Amino acid sequence: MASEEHQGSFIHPMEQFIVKPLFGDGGDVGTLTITNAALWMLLSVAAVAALTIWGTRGRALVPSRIQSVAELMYGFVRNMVEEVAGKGSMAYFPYIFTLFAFILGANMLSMIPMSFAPTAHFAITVPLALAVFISVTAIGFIKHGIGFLGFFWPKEAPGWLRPFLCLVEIFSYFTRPVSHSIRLGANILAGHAVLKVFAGLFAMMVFGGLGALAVLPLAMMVAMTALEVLVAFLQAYVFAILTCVYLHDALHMH
Amino acid sequence: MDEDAARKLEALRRRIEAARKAQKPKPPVRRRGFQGAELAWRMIIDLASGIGLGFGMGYGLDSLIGTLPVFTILLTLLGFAAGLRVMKRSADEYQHRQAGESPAEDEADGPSGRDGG
Repeated sequence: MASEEHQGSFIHPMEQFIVKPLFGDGGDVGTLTITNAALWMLLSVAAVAALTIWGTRGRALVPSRIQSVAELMYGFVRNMVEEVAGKGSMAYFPYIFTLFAFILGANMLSMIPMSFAPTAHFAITVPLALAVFISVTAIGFIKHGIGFLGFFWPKEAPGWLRPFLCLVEIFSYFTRPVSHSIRLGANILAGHAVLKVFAGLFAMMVFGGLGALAVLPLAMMVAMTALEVLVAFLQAYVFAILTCVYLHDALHMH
Repeated sequence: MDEDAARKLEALRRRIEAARKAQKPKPPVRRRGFQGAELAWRMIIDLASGIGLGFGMGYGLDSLIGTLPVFTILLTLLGFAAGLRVMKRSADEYQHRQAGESPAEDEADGPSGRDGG
């Protein structure tokens, strides 16, 4: 029994999320330490740059395969911004495209075995969500001046309910960055942890002498991997589309 | 001759039209089930983060002032209300989308239409 427990523990589901310095002998992680998180974020930036700059270097009228992937991504985000954020939102397209591409790159790269998932860390997702929250709020106040506060005043409600509903509106506005960051971080975190749990189960069964039954966790891992690739795309999409929704609120106030 | 040319042009136009129609990409097939799950998941996170934020702020305020249960309870309830508000918004957006299916409409606040590949 004890040996089984020992064997089970050699794949720890949360070990993959440890941030470690890449150079030196495992000292402290400071502000400018090059960690595995920094490396994988840089790699995702490099991947996006490779796709959008190197991939489209031909500027061909009939695009090559990689160029058409880049164009597809561009068109996809552009459509989304136009449809969801509404008129006058194209000025903010570069920002939303950058967010989408970075999160998609990081999510997809983290599906590579032995890689690291920066977007599973709230230290990454919270600044992303806060940046959206602060910039969108600033845009609202710049566009509408102090009148942006009218966004929180429910005009259609009965009079005596309004102050209370206004409080609720303000509160729900401030929950936005919380849910925005938790959604991305928790989805990626949970997916990767579950994959590792099944991997651990598989190893336990194989080394514990349940060879044939180990097919079950293996099949589960295959299915989960497929789902996680979908989630990796979908979470980048959801993050971007919610940014568009918030931007729409700031630009048009409903 | 002139009439003949016009007739030819008309025939050509029809052929081009037909060819265009045949080439036109079909609207993307939507995975209804998964989209529904995504929406439900979104609502749950919205509700939970509302309650969590309310509880956190209330508890922080209480331990600062020393009125322990008061603000914790009040702000948790407020957070719950805010979470419900966000949920209702998401539901409205979804209903809007189901009913209208008109993505360009400026009134439709929310993720309209497309669910990408």
